[in-house]
Amino acid sequence: MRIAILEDDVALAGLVEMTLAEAGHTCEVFGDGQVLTRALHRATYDLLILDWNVPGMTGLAIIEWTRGNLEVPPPALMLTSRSAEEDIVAGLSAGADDYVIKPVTPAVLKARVNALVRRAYPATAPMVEQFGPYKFDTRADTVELAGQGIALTAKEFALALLLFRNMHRALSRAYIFEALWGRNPDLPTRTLDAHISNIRTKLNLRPGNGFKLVPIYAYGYRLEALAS
Amino acid sequence: MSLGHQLKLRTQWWLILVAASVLVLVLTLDRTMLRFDNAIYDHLLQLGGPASGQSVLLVEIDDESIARMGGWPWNRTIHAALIDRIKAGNPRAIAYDVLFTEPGDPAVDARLGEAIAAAGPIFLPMLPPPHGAAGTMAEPVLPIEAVRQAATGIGYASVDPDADGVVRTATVASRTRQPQHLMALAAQAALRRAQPDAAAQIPVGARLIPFGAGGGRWSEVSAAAVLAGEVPPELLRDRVVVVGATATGLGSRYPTPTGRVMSGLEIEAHLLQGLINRAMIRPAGPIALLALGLVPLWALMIGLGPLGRAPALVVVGLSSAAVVAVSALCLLVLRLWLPPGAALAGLAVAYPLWGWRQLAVIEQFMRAQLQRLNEEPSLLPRVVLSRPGRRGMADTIALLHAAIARNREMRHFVADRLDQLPDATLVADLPGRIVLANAAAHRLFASFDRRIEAGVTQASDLLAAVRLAGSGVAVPFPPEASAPATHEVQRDQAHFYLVGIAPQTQADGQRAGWIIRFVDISEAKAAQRQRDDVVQLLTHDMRSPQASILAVLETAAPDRINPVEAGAIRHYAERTLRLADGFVQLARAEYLEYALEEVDLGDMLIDAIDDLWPQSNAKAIEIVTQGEEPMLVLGERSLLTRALVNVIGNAIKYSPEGTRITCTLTREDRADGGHWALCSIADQGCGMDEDLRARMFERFLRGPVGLGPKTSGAGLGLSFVHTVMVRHHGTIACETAPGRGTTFTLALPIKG
Repeated sequence: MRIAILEDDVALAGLVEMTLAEAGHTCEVFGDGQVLTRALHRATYDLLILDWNVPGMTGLAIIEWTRGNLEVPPPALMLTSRSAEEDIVAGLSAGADDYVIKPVTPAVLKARVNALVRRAYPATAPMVEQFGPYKFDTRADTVELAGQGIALTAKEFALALLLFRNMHRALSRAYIFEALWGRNPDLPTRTLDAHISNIRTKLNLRPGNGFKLVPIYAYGYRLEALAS
Repeated sequence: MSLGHQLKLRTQWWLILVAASVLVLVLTLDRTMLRFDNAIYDHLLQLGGPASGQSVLLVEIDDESIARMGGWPWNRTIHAALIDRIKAGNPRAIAYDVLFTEPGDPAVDARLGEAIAAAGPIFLPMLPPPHGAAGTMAEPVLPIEAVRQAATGIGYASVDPDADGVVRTATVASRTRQPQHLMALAAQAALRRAQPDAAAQIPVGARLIPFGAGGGRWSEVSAAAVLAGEVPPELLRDRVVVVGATATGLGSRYPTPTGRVMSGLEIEAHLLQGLINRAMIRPAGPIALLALGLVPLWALMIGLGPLGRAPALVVVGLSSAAVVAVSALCLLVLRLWLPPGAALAGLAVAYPLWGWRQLAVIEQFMRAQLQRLNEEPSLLPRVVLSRPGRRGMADTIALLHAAIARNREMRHFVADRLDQLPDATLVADLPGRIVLANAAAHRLFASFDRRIEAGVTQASDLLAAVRLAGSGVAVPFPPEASAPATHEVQRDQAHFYLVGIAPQTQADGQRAGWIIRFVDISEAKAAQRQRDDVVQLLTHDMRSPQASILAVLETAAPDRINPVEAGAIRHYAERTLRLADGFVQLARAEYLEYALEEVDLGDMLIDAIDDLWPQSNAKAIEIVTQGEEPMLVLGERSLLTRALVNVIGNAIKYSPEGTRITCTLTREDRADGGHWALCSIADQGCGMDEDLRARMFERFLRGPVGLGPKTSGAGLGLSFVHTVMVRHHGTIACETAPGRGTTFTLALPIKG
């Protein structure tokens, strides 16, 4: 994958570039937002990793610019020191596909980038999907944990599969609602929290099993696989 | 007006209606208004044209005749000659109004008798019975035998003046009854000559003589001229000739409705003409009179009554004009006399009576209202009435004075208080014009170079001086919603205001306008910006270099940097980051506006435990949870979760490896009816002494190095927990002793 990195801090840019190169991606580093937009005119990138506060043009402005100017805007990952929860919501709402707060460990960065790539360029989903110890059979709507069958309701199965398929990706409440209950469901927001709570308990989605279900302030949920 | 007063007014309306109707009835039947009616009648008659007298010829025995023929009484041969002369002209009838009651020279009387007998229809008067003592039926005095035998008919020629001496009426007896009026006889004869079957149509009974304006216009000739043959016979032909004395000293003279004094002869001519023309005026019967009297009265009362909406004076004017007009039209067109006096009197009495009663009731109502107003609690010292308890107009006026004084005082009071309000306050009417502005508002807008003129300045013009903070658009005015609205606005980069716009309502809930208040929040805004700047500095500007340090360490080749130093550098960089994060979180916990939602405390507990898994896993600390059922609280999920993270994180930090942390969720129903969710976190760590426990919520306080294992932290964690719990109306409690572990219990109110 060809990845453009917008980062004015040389050390960080180097870390990101090194990490992604190890994962087999080709990276190009830009220190200025304007320069990046010019490059986007000429070349195609599969993914953008954007810092928020950079010279020339902010990361958010770049996302907006790609929506307006590129035929197929590439997915974008915000990588920034702005850790306030309002900033995270603002970034995701503005169209970022994910939001990672600095400092970042190579393992987290790799996992998040791979999640975006997988979603943006999906391979055909097999009938049986294996995520760590979890085995999802989409024909029979059954799920097994280490060979043990777990009884889930249809909605819980769909929610679990949605989270696993979008591993490391922040899913908004609206997105999950629409995927599970269709458009404009007249449901209390508590419903989603209750379902999340149920699958966490039933599937034991806990760090002990290598997974962590993270609520994102005022936005939604993200399933993370912990580095072993 | 209250129901009681309306009922009272309605009763009085009925009373006045009945009383005025009775008055009209009495006045009508009693003819009390006769003099007034006569005056009206006399005036109305003048509106008609003069009586024309084509069929009447007056032959007057006037001063000229006396002069030419010698002194009165004349020799009866002169009368005989006169009759002969008239007869020669071939008149339709002759009414010879000269009395021949005294017998004279028989030869002369015989000569007169012959002349009369030859004259065709000729009628002579008799002397009506003298007004003798009551009850005595006096006989009329008839003419002498010769005349009586020769005349076609004998009638009385008297004139009956009304009580005021004016002649208006003549009475025509029915045909069969005697005596008949001389003129009625003459008219009958004349009509019979013209139309034989129409004679009977002469109206019977008392009738009003149709005196025209300015007297009659008939031909008048002097008797002397007739005798001398100076009158052409054409003047006599087919006329009714009336002969009578008008000379000075002869015959009576009477005042008439025309205002002129007329000779009896002239009055008779009017009567005759009226009879012949069938123009006699009929007095109306009692039913018509009552109708004329009562209908306008009732119309007036309905017009003025509780249902009426028309202006009273107009109704009275219209009713009176209608009465007079009906009366005049009947008289002049229908020749029917409807005296309007009683009707006008009814109107004239009912209108002021009703007005007076209305005023009285209104005055009572006003007094009651004013008294109530006076007794209402007042913000101001009460105006004491000088002589309370008196009734009557003076008391009402005193009450009204008090009410007005109170109102004025109130206005001053309100204006003063408004002026003394520290914030700029404007009161606008519904279209947005400024009605009131306090001193602070004048000062504020003077600093914007805008003058406020009460009653002229538009609120929207003033609001245009500022823009909504953030969006920069104008303040919406008037607001669409009826609920009070608050906007944060700015004049420039340094001046910020909170603008509150609230609808202003009257006591009855009707919208009356707007109250606009400007609160200067520039200082608070500056402080907030400063805080934001610090937070911004910590979140981004301070974090970035730390992140870069970590990135350098991550990417540096192991041979370029000593791993021991690298570890130390990483440790300090991470600690700086935690410090910044801790500070930012605390600032958020303190200043953020909480967006509360229903969250499960159990979910948040698991979120926190999962978040701390790396730490607990590293120290092989088992975290167990008890009490799994959902426990919903209203809270800010991220802050509450972080608070739990801080508490459990502390527990991990100060616990030896391989120990256990127990998190228990319980529900507590307290005696005061409150329901609480309790989350207790018990560790098996080093515990705290009393001194540390007392200060544990202080900022930057960390457990003493000697007390527990070597730890790292910012020392803001428990301050944050405390702030979050307080802002959630919850509590945090701690049970600890050195070496015995620590149990924190967080309590949050459960919704509902």
